[in-house]
Amino acid sequence: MNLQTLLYNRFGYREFRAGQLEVIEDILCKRDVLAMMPTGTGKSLCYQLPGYVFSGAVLIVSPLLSLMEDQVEQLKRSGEKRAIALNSFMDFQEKRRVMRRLSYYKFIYVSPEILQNDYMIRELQKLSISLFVVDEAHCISQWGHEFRTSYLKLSSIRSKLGQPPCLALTATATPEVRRDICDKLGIPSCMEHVYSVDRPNIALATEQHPVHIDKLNRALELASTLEGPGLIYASTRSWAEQLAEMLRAQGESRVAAYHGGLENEDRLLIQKQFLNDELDVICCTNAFGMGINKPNIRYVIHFQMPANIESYVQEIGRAGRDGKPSLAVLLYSGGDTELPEMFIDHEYPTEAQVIHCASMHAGDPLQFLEMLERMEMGESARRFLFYQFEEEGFFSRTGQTLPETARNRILSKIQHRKAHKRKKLNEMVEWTKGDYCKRKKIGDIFSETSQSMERNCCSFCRMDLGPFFRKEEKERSLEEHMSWQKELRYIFNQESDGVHEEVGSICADPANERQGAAT
Amino acid sequence: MIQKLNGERSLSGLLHMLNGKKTSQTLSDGHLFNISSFFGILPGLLRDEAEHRVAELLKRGLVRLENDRYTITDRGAQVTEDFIHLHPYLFSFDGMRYKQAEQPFYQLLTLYIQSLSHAIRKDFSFLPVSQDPAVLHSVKERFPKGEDRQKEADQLYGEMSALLCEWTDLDAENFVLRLSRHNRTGLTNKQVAQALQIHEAEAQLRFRSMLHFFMKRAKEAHEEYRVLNKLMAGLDLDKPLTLSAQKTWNLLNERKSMEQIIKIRRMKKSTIEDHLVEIAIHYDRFSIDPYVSLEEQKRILNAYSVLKTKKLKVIKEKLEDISYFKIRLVLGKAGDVLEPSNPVI
Repeated sequence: MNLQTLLYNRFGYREFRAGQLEVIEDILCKRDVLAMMPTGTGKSLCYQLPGYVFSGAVLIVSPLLSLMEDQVEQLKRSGEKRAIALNSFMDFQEKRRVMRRLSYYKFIYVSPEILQNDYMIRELQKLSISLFVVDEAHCISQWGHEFRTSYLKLSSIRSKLGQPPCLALTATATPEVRRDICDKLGIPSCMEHVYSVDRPNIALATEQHPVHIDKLNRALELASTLEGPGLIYASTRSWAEQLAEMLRAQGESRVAAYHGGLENEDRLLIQKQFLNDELDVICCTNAFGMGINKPNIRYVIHFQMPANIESYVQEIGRAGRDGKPSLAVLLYSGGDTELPEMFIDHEYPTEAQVIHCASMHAGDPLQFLEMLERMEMGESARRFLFYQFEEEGFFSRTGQTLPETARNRILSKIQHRKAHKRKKLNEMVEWTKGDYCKRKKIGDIFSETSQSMERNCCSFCRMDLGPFFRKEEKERSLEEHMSWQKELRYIFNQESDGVHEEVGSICADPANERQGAAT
Repeated sequence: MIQKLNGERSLSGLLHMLNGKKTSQTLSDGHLFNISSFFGILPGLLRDEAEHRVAELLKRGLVRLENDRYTITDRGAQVTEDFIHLHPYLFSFDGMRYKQAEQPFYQLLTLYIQSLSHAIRKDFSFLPVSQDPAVLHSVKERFPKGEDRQKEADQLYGEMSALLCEWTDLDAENFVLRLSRHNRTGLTNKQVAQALQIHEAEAQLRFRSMLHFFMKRAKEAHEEYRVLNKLMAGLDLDKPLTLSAQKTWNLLNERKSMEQIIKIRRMKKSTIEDHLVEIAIHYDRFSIDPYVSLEEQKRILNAYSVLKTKKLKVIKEKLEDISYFKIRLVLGKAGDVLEPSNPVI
């Protein structure tokens, strides 16, 4: 079967999208590949289609549970039942049930953390893995924006699994990050496929406001006049909540806040309300986004800037996946860099903490971790410190302290990284204020050539917000809900006279059904 | 609560109860003072907040503080009665019995309803409201076949409207608006509270009371609430023991002696004693006779009826030769009998 036919039969598309075929052909020749493709351009097809050509399974390492589940969900909906997401949140019985029939699955999604588990590796070794995929591969880079230390072991894990070809996927990575990815994954001579991060249908606006209150008013004004659905990114949970609250007070009833502090169920409900167009605006932190595939987001406002331009490009990339004109607005006022600067400091242990830990006598790693948990440092600082100590061989020399040279190496690494992150932040600020075409500048940063556009390019070139405002003022009536009796009748399809609504013939083929309860 | 505890436990004891902290002490207290139903009613309540609230009550003259213990004033009792009158749903709250099960039960119920609501309209392309594989699996297992689905919907509609009818419209709406269905995603607690213009904590409490009510009524009438019972099958209901005490109880059932259990479990004697007190409270068929002689039992109960207190220290002072363990065991076993027919408030 040729690839075109396979594409149509399995996925229902007639044509490959830009880049897909090139990547797939390299993979089928068993080459290692690094592919950078903007979000929403069908990255996952690049490993799913080869999955049907290879005889073995495809192992996909993915950083986020929601991302994995979303992918599995999509595969199942397209009729592929042999997809599974393995993660540490599965309960014991579920895990056992799945592990017993692991060889049944074609697409196995795993978190990098679960691959640290020896039992898991042994089970995977029993299978034949045809392709090793690293999704969101920028997470492996110390210069990427979501550095995860457990990603660093992927190279050795791949060799334990018989060194299958490796496909590294990312949406946004500067040349520096791309080099680092290949380095850390041990695929120095891989084929690089880099497709533009430029999204011509997204107009790029930046606005500088003299004081914070002006910026706030502007954000509220935009959110209540722009055509939705839209996202407002804030840098803290409390700002996400406050913005939602203020918009509601202005009469925008279809607004919700979304951040990591919400209960899991609430997060799911809000995501779904947004996907089903039951909400117009979501005020969120960067916890919102990955794995959420909503085609018709019309604008993304940043109430505070992200820590670097890669994050920015990724976050605004959630707008206009349907290809229609969309708007990104970055709001800026003095003092906006204080918070991200603080975040940078908190991401790493302090010098005193490193020195303190270095003076400890090495023992059980678990006890060491527990001790770290009692110290005043954030999650990422803790992970960083633990990994560095492990790298320096601290735990293999029981009873000894960390040598001074190793300690100094770690300290200088921290200095180095902090300096790098500050540089990235400055680049972001500089881009916000700079007098040049914003689109071209993004192209420069990612080493590609982007063209300024005739219409609605960016706030430097030419910009007309007009088309983005609502065509007609929506009525601001409060959301009416039905009486509970009516609501209940609707839920269960009960007409008042006991006759059921006409729902067509009885579905004949239960195999085509997805009852909400996936296998 | 303060009324019930009658100045015999500290604020910490109260807080553990409200937070739903499952220790032997809270469990036996809940039983002793007839406040089990409030177990875990306010899971997130912090010590600071509780102190703040109690200070307010003090200022308003609703409680008084003596020897680090709070007791309720007459005015406080009146206010409590009025409050309960205004919030009758609190009667349905039964934390000790249903706290463990409420979340799993609701997860199943809401996904089941969402799936049913879509399936009877032949729409199978919705996003499930739960992503927990265990919940998805359970729903799938219990889901009816094609032609039976509308029948199942009719049945569940009947069950739910019968139960909801017994409540105020506010309570029923507060429940129904959370459910996801065909063409509408359920609301979060915050959104429901906004829609109904009530406080978030109140919305949450009304909702949880409703869940407890559903489970209680469904348990009582298996035939009538067939679908609800199907969903509840396998949930952890009526398991009031701490996990550790449960293990001790299992060993007792294997006819192991207390000394053997101490050895097997490698635990301190006092810990196993705590377990026995818990077991005495919850299992009628557990006999305390091997641990306390009949003579001693009588003396302890007599002391209680004379002293009219459950303060262990006071009783112990009266009965110097009898251990705390024995006193707790006897009071625990006697439990409700000591205060019959008191409504749970």
